[in-house]
Parts: sequence; structure tokens; C-alpha cells
Amino acid sequence: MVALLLLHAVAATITAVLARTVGPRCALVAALAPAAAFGWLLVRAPGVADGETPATAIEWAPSLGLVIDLRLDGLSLVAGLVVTGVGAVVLQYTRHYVTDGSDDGPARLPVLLVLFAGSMLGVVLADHLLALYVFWELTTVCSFLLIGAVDAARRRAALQALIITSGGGFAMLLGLVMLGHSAGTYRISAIMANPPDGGLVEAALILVIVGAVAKSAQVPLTSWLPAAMAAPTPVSAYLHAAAMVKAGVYLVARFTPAFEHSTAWRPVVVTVGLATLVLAGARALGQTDLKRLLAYGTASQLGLLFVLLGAGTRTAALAGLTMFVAHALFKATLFLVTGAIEHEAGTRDLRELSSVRRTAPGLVTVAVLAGVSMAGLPPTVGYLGKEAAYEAFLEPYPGGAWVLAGVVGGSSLTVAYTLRFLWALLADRSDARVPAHRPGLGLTVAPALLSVGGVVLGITATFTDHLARLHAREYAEPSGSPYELALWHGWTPALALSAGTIVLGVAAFALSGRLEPRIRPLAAAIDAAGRLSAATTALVRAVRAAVAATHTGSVPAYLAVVLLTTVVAPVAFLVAQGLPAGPFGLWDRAAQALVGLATAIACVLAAILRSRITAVLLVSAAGYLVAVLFAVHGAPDLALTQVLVETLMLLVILLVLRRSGEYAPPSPRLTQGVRATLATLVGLAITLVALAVTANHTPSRVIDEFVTASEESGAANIVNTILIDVRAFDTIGEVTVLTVTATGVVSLVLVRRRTGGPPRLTDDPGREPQAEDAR
Amino acid sequence: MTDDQRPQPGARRQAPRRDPLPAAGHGQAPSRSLLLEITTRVIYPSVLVVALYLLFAGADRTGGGFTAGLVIGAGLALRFLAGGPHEFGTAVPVNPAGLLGAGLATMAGYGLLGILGDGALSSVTWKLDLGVLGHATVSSALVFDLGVALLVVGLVVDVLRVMGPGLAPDERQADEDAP
Repeated sequence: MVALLLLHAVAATITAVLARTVGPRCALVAALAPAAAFGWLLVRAPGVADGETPATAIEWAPSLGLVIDLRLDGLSLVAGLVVTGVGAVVLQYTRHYVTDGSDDGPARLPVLLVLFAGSMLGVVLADHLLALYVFWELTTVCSFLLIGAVDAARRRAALQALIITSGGGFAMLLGLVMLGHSAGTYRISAIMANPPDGGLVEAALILVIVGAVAKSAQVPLTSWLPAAMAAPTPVSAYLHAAAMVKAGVYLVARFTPAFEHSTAWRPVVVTVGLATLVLAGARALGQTDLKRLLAYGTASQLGLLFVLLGAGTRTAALAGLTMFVAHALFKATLFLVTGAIEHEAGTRDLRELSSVRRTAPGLVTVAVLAGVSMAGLPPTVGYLGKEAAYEAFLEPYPGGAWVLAGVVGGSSLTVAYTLRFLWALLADRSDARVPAHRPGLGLTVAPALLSVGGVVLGITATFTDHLARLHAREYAEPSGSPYELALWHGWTPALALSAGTIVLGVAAFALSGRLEPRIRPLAAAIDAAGRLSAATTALVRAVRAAVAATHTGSVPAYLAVVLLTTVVAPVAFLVAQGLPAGPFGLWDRAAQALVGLATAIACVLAAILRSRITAVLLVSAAGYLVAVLFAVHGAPDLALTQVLVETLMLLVILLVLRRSGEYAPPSPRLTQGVRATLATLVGLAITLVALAVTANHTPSRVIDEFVTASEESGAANIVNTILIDVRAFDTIGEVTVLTVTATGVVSLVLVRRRTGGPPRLTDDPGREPQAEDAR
Repeated sequence: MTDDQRPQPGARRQAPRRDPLPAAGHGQAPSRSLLLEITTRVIYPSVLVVALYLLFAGADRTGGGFTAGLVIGAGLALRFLAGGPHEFGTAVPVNPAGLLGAGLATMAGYGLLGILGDGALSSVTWKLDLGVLGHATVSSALVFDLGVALLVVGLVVDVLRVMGPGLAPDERQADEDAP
């Protein structure tokens, strides 16, 4: 399993290297990685069907207790097959899609897509909560890079997707940590076998749901998905239809068997799913851009998946997994078809397309097959799933009537927007744009494969049933014969509901033309995302007012607030403790007294003098004297570092001060008095704290461990050994902060752009030094 | 070549350089201090040697990667003060962001290599017998220290080049407009 994940990284590197020589064909090389993973999963499938669960663990940092667990079970197998299968097919499509040299090089799309495929595979294989989170965020990063920053619109879309999904990811991380803490272990399989309960667990589950909602573009966080349609079609087909947005659904499916009894999980998941199913479906009906139509459709179908996989019954899980596979197949197909048509016609606005079925009959047939699956008509896998979904809520279920009504309504809307999509392809409009020529075989193979797969899975219903049972077996079997997927069950209520859905859908489509002007403002009004932005605007206004009131822009004012807090908080704490201060002497050695006196004189002079440069030099003198104090006390490393940092800091301050006047203007008496008081208070407070700390000195608990470690490595400098050996991990964190600081300083000073580096001799060859001096 | 033009043994091969520092006269240096330039020219190589010493000596004596990086930074600051931004650019011909990245990459790469051993960020110690030079114990954490030094140098260079006399052109405009 580890090898499979690494294979994706290796394939990405090879593709990047090969891109220069073979051009767009490198996408086929990249396709080998997910194809190999698909094959491996197929090989393992019979074993997993029998109940085996192959697992590995990579202990990559045992001293820090970090381990990556990977495990393959039924749900992982099906999700993995979907992810890798669609990935390989989309990469083949990419090979023909990037022929016009767009988007800086033919390598960018395939490399990022295969990296994404590896990360997504990691999400479904992960058995450790934190490993799941890391792979989850890797998919977010890949999505950000794939949406790209070619122009302002795409940059905004990418940022919106990043902010919403990683914001949800942070909430999810918090929830996962709380969950792991409550359960006492971070291994998912252990938590599922022995789920914890309690108030903390409920809160954790809510946070995890937030993460899943953000990732799967559910209400109220739907807005990023339609915006992300600015990305190239292979990206939309793979990430935003078949794989990345399914991560939230996968999480719901993974957690529901264990947590269906919690009071928060089931109601929240089912409600959110139902709301999205209906609202996003309604929005889809009003779209003119084909990709945005499909995007809202995706959000709606993901809502259905939330309902089915979060419901917690066997039949619902069966339906859910079937729809999981079905949605990936038909949605990816429709996106790929849209991309191919846009490639040829230059537009994807359905008001402008015409005669597509004459110019690209093969593509249209493929799209029709996928549309049939989306609408839930036999003999496709979509039909199997829809039937099972109706059956699931015809069984006794709390609030089942409402859920059933919602599902039927949402499915009718699905039929309606499917018809809207297909009508764009099948209709002829006299004054509209015609595709230039038929899309080549290369662009047609991929969607054809996926849509035919949908039909095949529908016809071989028993096979699909076995596939879906891999997850449904987690649930208890109901009394009586368990439900099985089949094309014909007899004259059941579910069949009636399916027929009713289709009738309602056709009616909705037929009336949509007339109702559209009335539906759109209604849909926008009830769209929670829209209302959310009104709430956000109000929040932003309130925050701006608060900031304007408190942020005066005066550095002394900010400093005063910070220092006042420094005075008040520790002193208050000490006073509560009873002011412990041990016996103290004035000095141990004469050298300390002299240095202390000199430091005090330097500080007082620095406060009194008005010449800026002299004051800064005196402050630095105080710093050097403190370094001498360190050296006297026996801390040579500290003294050396202090001297060096003080020198560089002095230099930077002087360079900045060049732009200010030489003398500071005199301040009013009141301000001077306030500042003097504050400074004295700070000095007294720090003295009190220092005395209290030294009085309560407890010996270090880890010093023995450090001493042994440094003796083992044969180094005599313990400080250095701690920094680079024993606690090297902390050092990495600290230097990352340094990097961010450097970038922040540069970005703040050079607000407009980050230049490449300091000017060199070769930069302006034409300028003579004499001409400069003469100016 | 005539007898006069053929280079004579013992004679200087080329005329002495006019500037002690390679790019000191370039750009808009308003006033040049010859003393500072010559001192910098003389001291700078020694500064680099001291930094290298601190890097290697950090294991047993005072020193380490942070201080080595800071010393190199101080030396570069000296060249900056003596010769101006173009001198600084000649001293550091790389993108400072590249230095930051190289430092982080070294540390992360070293850490990940440790997976092959005891786990991430583990170190190995080698004892070498250098004959005349005596015994030496070298720890592989020296690579980590090198990464830290690179990063600190990158930080100093990045901060100095934006704070220094070489203003970016649009900033200079803003400065001239302000009273």
C-alpha cells in the first residue's frame, strides 16, 4: 500500500521530467500510476469480499510517536476503485485536452492530477485520524494548484475553494483530535470497533461534520464549487465530481456505522443532505452555463449521498454506495463531454449551443447514456441506486416520510436539470453557435468508457449488489429478507415513486421556462449561501467599526496596551498566590554589579536623550552589556548569539532610522509622565516576576535525558545537541517561523512585488558612476 | 611580441585594481570611505572562515549553525555598508528566497533520511582517526546545522536588501513626494 502511494509521487516526477521530450503524451505515463492502483485493488477485491482487511503501518518517527496506519476494507476498496479508475481515465482524456499548450506547459495538469490521485488514495486507505487529515489537506492543496491562478477570476475561485475547504479542515482536525483523545487511540478501526460517547464526542462529531460539509460543498458552504468551475475540464471532472468532493461523503460513510446512535450525527447529516439536495437542485435548474449546472447538480447529488450514507440503515447504505459509484461515473462523463464540446464550439452556454447532435453524435450518445443514469432510469446503475434509496425510506425510519418526500423532490429536480442539460445537446437553434468539428476519438474514449460502465453495472445488478454490500455489511441486517439490488422487484411502491419522480421531473423541466423568472429570485433568496453572505457583510462592517475604534495607528499606543497587559496579568496572578519572593542578595560578584550599573546608566540615558541615533546606540549598548552578563554567568552560547543578534538588529534599526529626522520632537508633559509611569511599572512587575520565579525554582525534569543524549553522540556542547539533535523537531518549527518572518518583512516593505534579489553589477550596464554622482 | 612587450619575470602582470571591492563604485553611492572598503576587503574572507569554524566547532565548543549563519550575515552586512546595494548583490548572487528554501529543504531532507535509520530526525555519530590531526567525532546532525546556517543567512540577506539604501524605484518616488 505504501508502495502504491509512493508510486504516484514517482509517476509525478517522471511525468514532469518527460514532459519536455514527449509533450502531452506524458499524461499517459502519469495514468499508469492510478491504473496500477486500480489493478492492485481488483486483485485484492475477492479477499476483501471474504472479510480480510490488509493493513500496514509505517513508523516513520517512533521517537515522536508518529505512525501512519493504512488499511483496506470494503468501503476503502470501492472508494479506491472509483478514485483510481476515474483518475486513469481522466488522465487519458488530459492527454488529448492539453494539445493547445495552455496553462504553462503540458506537464502541469498531469503531474498535479496524479499527485491528487495519490493523495485521494491516501484518504481512503488511511486508518489513522491524523494521517487522514494530512492526506485530506494534500487534496485541498492539489485542488488549489489545479484551479490555478492564470487570471484574476481563477485566482479568486482557487482562493475561495482553499479558504472554505481548509477552514472546514481545521474544524475537522479539532474534531478528530477531540475524538482521538476521548477514544484513547487515533486508529480509526479501533475507534469504530469501540466508539466512545459523551458530550465531548458529540462536539467532536459536529466539527467533523463541518469539515465534511465544507469539502463536499453542502449547504451553507456550497459557493466554492460553482466558482471552481473556472478550472479546466479534466480538473472539474476528476476533483469536483468524482474524487475530492467525495471525501466528505467517504468520511460520513466511514463514521456512521459507529456513531449512528449519537444524538447529533444522524439528524445533522440527514438534514444538511436533504437541504442541499433540494436547494442545489433548484439552483441547477436555473443555470445557463453547462458546467455550473453540473456543479450545482453535483452538490445536490452529494446531498443525496449524505442522506443515504448518514441514515444508518443497511438498505440506505446499500443505496448510498451504489449512488457513490453511479454519481462518479455519470458526473465525470458529463463533465468530460462538456469539456470536449467547449473545446470544439468555444462556448458552454446552453443558450448558444446548437446542432451538437449533428456534429458530434458519438459524444451526444455517450452524454445521453450518462444522463439516463443521472435521471435514474433503467437499465442503469443510477436506477438501481434510486430504487434502493426509495426502498430505504419506505422501511420504518424516524422522520422517514419527510426524508422520502425530500428525496423524491430532489430526484425530480435531478430529472429536470438532466433534461435541461441534454436539451442543450440535442436541440437545434437556428441562430446559435455550432461546434466547429467533431471532437476526436481521444476525447470521446474516456467519457464513453465511464458511461458504458454505468450501463453495464446497471445490467449486471447482482455484481453491483455484491460491490455495494462490501460496505452495507457493516450494518445489522433487518428481519426478513435483506434488500438486494435488482432491475425488477415487482410492482412495488418504490417503482411507483420512481415513475412519479420522472413525471414530476419532466413537468418541472417543461414549466421551468415559464417559472424560471419566478424561481430564480426565490431560489437565490432561500439559498443559505446568499443569506450567509449578507450575514458576512454585516459581520465585516461590525469588525471594521471595531477596528477603527481601537486601532489608532499609533505605535506607542499599541505598545502601551501590550505593556500594560504584561504588567497586570502576571502581577495579578502573583498577588493571588501571595507574592512569593525568596531571599535575594544584590550581587554575587563585583563584575555583575558593574555591568548592572552600566546597563542602568545606558537605559536611563537612552530614555532621556532626544537624538534618535544616540538613543538607539545606547539601547544596543545595554544589549551588549546583557551579553556580558550572560558570559559572566557561564552561558557562552547565549552571549555569542546575543552579541550577533544585537549587532544585526542595530544595523537594521539604523538603516530604517535613516528616513526619520535626527531629533525626536518633544512630547507634551502629560504623555511623558504617562510613559515614565508605565515604564516604571513594567520594570517593577518584571522584577517581581523574576524574584518569584527564582524563589520557586524547580530542577529541570528532562536535563538527565539531555545529558545522556549528548554523551551518546559524543558532543560536549549540550545546548547545541539539544537544538540540532534531541529537539531537532522543535528547531524545524522555529526556523519555519523565521522563514515566514523574512517573507512577511519583505512582502510588507515591497508591497507591490517581491523582486528577485539584490541588484547586481550586470543589472544596469548603461549607467555610469560619474553620471550618478553628477546628479 | 617585441622584447619590451613580453612579460618580464618578477614584474606585475596587470595594473592594480582601482576599487578594493568589486562593485563599490557602482550605483548611487554618495560618499565612499576608502578605509571601510579596504578593511572590508581584508576582513571578509576571515569572517567566512570564522563562520565555518563556528559551524564545525558547535558540537564541542561554543558555536553552532545559528551563530555561523549570523556571522556570515554580519560579514555580508559589512560589504553592504562599505559598497552599497550593488556590492551586496555581487556578494550574494542568489535569490534570498532560494537560500531560505535550500535551508529548509536540507533540514527536511536530512530528517526524512532518518526514516531509513532509527526514525525521522535521528542522527548517527562517526568516530574518525585522522592520524596526525588526532581523533574526531562527527555527528550527522552537522547537515541539519548547515541547513540552519543557510536559512539564517537567507533571512539576514532578505531583511537587509529591503531595508538598505537600495530603494525599490516606486518607493523612491513615494519618498521624494513626501515632505
